[in-house]
Amino acid sequence: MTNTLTQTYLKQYPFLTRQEFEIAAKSFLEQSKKSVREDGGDLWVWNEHEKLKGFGYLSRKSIIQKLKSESLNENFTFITTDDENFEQVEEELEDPSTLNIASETTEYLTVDYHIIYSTSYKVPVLYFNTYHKDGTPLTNDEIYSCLIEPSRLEDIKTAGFHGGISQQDHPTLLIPFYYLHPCETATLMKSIVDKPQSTILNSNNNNLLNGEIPIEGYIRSWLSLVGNVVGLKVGIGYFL
Amino acid sequence: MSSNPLVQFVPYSSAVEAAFWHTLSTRKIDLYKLDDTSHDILGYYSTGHTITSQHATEANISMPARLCLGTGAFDDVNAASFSRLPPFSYPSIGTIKNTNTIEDFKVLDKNALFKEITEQIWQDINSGKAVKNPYLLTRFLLITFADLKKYKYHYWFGFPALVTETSWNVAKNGEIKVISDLWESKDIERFRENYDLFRQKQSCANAGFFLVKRSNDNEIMIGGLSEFDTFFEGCDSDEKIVGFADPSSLPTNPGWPLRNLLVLLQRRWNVYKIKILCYREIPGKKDISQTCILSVEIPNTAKISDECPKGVGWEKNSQGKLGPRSADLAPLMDPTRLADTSVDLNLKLMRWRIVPNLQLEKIRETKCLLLGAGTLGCYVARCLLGWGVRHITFVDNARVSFSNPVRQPLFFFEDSLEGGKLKAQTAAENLKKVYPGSITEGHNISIPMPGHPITSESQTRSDVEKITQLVDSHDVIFLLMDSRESRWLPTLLGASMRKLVINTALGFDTYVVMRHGVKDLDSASKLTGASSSKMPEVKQLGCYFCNDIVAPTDSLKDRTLDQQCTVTRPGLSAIASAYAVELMVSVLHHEKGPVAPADTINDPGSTDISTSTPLGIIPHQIRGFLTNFNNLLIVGQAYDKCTACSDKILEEYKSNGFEFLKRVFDSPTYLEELTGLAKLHQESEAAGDFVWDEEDNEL
Ligand SMILES: [Zn+2]
Repeated sequence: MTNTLTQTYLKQYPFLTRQEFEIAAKSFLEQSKKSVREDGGDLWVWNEHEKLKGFGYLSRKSIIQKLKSESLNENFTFITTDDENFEQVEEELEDPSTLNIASETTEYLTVDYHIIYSTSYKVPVLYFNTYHKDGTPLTNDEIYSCLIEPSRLEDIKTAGFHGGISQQDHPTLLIPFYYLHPCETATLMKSIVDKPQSTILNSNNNNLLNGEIPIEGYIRSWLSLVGNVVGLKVGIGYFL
Repeated sequence: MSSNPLVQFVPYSSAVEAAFWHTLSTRKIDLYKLDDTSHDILGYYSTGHTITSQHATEANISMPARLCLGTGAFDDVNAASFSRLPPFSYPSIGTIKNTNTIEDFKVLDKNALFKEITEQIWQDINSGKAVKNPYLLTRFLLITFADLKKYKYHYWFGFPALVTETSWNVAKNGEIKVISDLWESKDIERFRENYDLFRQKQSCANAGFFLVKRSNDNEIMIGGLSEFDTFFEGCDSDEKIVGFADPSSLPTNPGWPLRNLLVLLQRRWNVYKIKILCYREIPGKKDISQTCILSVEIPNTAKISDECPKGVGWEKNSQGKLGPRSADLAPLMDPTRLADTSVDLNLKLMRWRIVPNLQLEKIRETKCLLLGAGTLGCYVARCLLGWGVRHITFVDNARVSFSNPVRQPLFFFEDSLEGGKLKAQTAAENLKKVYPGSITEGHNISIPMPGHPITSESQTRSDVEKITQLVDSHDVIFLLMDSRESRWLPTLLGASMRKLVINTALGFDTYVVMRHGVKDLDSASKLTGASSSKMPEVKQLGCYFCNDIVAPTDSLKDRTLDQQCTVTRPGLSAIASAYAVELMVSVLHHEKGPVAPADTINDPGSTDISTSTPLGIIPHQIRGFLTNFNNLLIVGQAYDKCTACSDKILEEYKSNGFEFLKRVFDSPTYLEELTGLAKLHQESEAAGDFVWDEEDNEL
């Protein structure tokens, strides 16, 4: 695939064509494999569309433990319920070789992150779904309270993002997903090259010779901006 | 017996992704239909690990030993579907039995199904299939019932582990230890690299079970389970290590897949004592430091009999009991709930971006009574929906006419056929079509009016009762009728129950949107009123009827409002309705609510940006003039001779109730006598300036 040493520049930075998106996505995967990174970049995979070539997307899963914050604890309940009145099974409750795990006290959430190309905005869009261990989704309030770390709200705002979370069908899976409004993405991507000294960029994103980010660094830079919004951020301990 | 402790295995904890339930539903509808035979499904698990928290206040996070079902669970079981599993995961084949009814689910012979899977594992061990494809050791069972109407899923996992007569013990001096306690770090690194290569060769499918040894030149070598005989040739028993991808994250206990692996080792190769490597990595971080090693042994070296051992491994539910679980997927699948989510998100966006103090919950819970389901009623209702208001009740007594649908956005041509449907009910029905989450109803009631003598006392009594009860059970009353007189009763009721009353009336190209004043009981003696120093202070704010007298604009012009309402510029109603709703929302944001004093804004260039609500100011009246495209904010104080809200009237209503109302309906001049207005008229006003219009406006 793409040699990461060469740097290709986008025809219309900050906009991507679908082809450029695929190249950018695959470069991102390759770079991830080469270095051990705090954000577990290796967990991303490229998914081809079942029927249409060139309509693939990136995805990864995260398991998170619900944030420990007083305000969250009270309104957070287990959604999993148990059924009553079922046919009994013959099983000794106490098989001595089975470790007895204390009943579920900690709640883990699964977050699916997908990076999908938007034809209308010509930029990547971050889709995500968050659910409990039985597949039941989080409510809007829980999304805002669990996924978005309160202490980071200001950072997120100064990064130019205004919390545009909406829900629509995933273009490939056709099931409802949350996504971050891509309306500001282009502006955001433009703004980071306008001020290369910006603290948003880390040393890995130094490909700014041309006043823009090469295709190979696009997803990484983009993710470092928008990923913050929904907990997909670099080097945060509670992410696995 | 041995004094060594039993090896205790960490059971699986099932994890089902929302996408799995989606796929199950689709297949049930399109493919299985009423066929409830079992099908293969593909699950996966990853190795367990603990994340050390970076914050001293937070506990470390141990991953549960999860067996997951995801998007690809129904794909055919082959190399291609294995390769689509998430990175760093291992496949596990399951059997799903989905019943057609909840009764079937309850009475299903679960023991028989569980036994079938147990026997399959036993057969695969005996036939050698499980040696070639050791992932077959992790077969599992899933029984489900999908309630597709309620989007509710009942399910129960079984992870059969074969139970041999004698249990495995921790061998002497073989207690479980992390790998770094036993191996040098360079060996750990070599092992990690070699295992990665091995895993790539196996394309993950069979990488979950493997063999480890040191070669003569001290290199760490990895082999597949099927190479058991050759791989360990010449090794001392102490040098043979069998490894498995361990979903357990507990430093003290290995995970479930080891159970059937040990049965296989014992059955195939008469292994009674073995060193086990519990492979645990942090996915994507090339970190295997949590990998553990232990030695296990079986004290009794007798062979396992040929008979299939019994199996254990039904998953416990969230209360720690043996029983199924259920998952409610309605929020993701029920279109009504999805609409809810989207509307809510949209409003949250406004809070996030512009108004952090926006009280969305308060708005959402506000119950609105719309008196009049015409042009104004329709627009107000739609605008309320936009704000997330759910409780919207319509009152009207007219039917939809042919001219209505083009101006009244809740009606359609069909509604005007055959004499026309009742407006209130039809508006409610159509509002539900716009937003199924709305809690709405329509009441066909004519509002009794002063100067419209009662023809049937029982009918009028019942109408008054209904309206009274409706005003009582709502928080905000919108007066959106097209006649002046019909506003009198609800104005009186609103004032007496201290409700927020929003009044909108239209002329041809002018409109008034106002809120009725409510007496501030907390500071009845204090002056309340305009907060702007530029306006004279006023006491309680006036109602539609007080203002009619004291309003600073031409009273003759005012009179055109209402009376010609069917002749208005078509855009006027939408404008006025929108102001009415926005006024309500702003008032809800004031700590005093309906009692809030009126703001005015006179200097747009003023540097003073402090406002009485997060949304800005709250005026008393907005008078709009389309001829000049401008608005005027006006404050009018309550009039002590008001025919609808003055103390005299309220007291009279309080003490005489319906008898008082009846007298007013029969003769409105009674009101003027009561308040002293009649006297006032005689003294200063031209006759006819303030009389109830006798003509019957269309209502
Ligand atoms: Zn009044």
